Amino acid sequence: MITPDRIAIVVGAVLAVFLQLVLAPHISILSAMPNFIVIYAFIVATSRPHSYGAVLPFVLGLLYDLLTGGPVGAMAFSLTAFSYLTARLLSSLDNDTLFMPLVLMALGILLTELVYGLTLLLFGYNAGIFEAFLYRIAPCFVYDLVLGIILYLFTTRLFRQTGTIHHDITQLR
Amino acid sequence: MLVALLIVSLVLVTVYAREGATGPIHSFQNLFTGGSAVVGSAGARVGSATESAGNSVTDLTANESSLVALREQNQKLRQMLSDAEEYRQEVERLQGLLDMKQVSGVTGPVAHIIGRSANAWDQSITIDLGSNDGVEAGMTIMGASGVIGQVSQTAEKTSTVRLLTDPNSGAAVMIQSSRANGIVRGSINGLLYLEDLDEGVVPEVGDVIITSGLGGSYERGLIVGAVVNVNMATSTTAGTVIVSPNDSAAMLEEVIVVFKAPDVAAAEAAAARAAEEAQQSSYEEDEYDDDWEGEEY
Repeated sequence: MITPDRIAIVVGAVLAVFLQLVLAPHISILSAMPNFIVIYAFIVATSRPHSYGAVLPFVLGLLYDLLTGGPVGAMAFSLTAFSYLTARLLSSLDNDTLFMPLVLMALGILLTELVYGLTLLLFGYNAGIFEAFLYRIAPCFVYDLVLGIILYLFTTRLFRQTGTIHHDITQLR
Repeated sequence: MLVALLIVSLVLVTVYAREGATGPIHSFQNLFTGGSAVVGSAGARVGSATESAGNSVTDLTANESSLVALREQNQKLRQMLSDAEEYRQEVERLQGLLDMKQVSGVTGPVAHIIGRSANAWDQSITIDLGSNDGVEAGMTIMGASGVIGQVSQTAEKTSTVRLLTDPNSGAAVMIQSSRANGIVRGSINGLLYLEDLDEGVVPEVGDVIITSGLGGSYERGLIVGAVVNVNMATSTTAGTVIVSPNDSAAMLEEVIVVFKAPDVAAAEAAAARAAEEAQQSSYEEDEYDDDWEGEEY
């Protein structure tokens, strides 16, 4: 069923893909480049944990793999697995504070970047695990997390003002 | 659903790993990466259009007509100045590329960079020439000061260039002064390392590195960079040698696709032949002088 909420999520997903292609390459800091697709998936997972399914992260991950030239299926796998897990954990914890979604978002993004990086190394990416963590995984995780927190706070505030926020994040403190 | 999608992901990854570069998933991906480059280049236009629209809105909000007219005029002049500066910089960059083509003797078209990798792990750029323009995978790409990478994939109208600094890049090179062979490899930290040097050779800081053409991956005799750091024992070849690339792709907007490099071997043979002929003629002159001197006696 097509609802305004679903339309908003699809529009946000299209925007995330567009930002990844157009903006992300130009705002990289040293070796860290933000991943708007990962950030968006985790924002949706933490703000709508009860209704979060596996299709959105799978499609977004697959688009990321196809558009950026990585191994097809790698980001689809890690984003689907860890964002879904984050949403399920958050919904089972039933914790309405601001702290818990952000902690789970941080853990989820870290695991997603880590597993994606390890997959690339398995595919013959010419670097050691330590180097990969130091020069790619950690910087990208920090960049994603900072942007993720900012965008999470912004979107939850926006949705609360427009009245489209999901019932389980209305009591943010 | 989750399990099914995870399995699909794993199957895709496995097939992607097993199939070659011409496999169906790779081909499908090529279509997407070509399209993403077009979106990326369109993004730049959208950005400037948004800026212009913002300026127009600002102008419209002014009340006094003369002030508005002056602002409009000022805006036009600024735009013209900005355009002129843009053209001046473009001419400067193209002149640099032209100079490089003349100095190195390479032939090939100039391509515009229309996209950069949207993946932190991948150091590549997209150019606006593709297989329709004669670009093929494996062709060498040069900036205004030297080699920057190699074409890794081609679509009809665009090509992806893997930069030398990518960890999966490698180029057979030689030290210009000593002619010692080695391989320049990119790394995850963004540096270029000179490895697998001929035994007993220790490069010095400032040594110029050029492509050797061995293995056929890069055209021969094109400048790559210069040695900036040597941490190597004199008796063995163990250690690290860091090469500074001559060109940073982050600053480039146009590149040369090398269709044909000068025939270095032929040029060297011609030079050797010329030197031999010169030596021969000077020898004959000496003999002639000796004969002349003999006649005098």
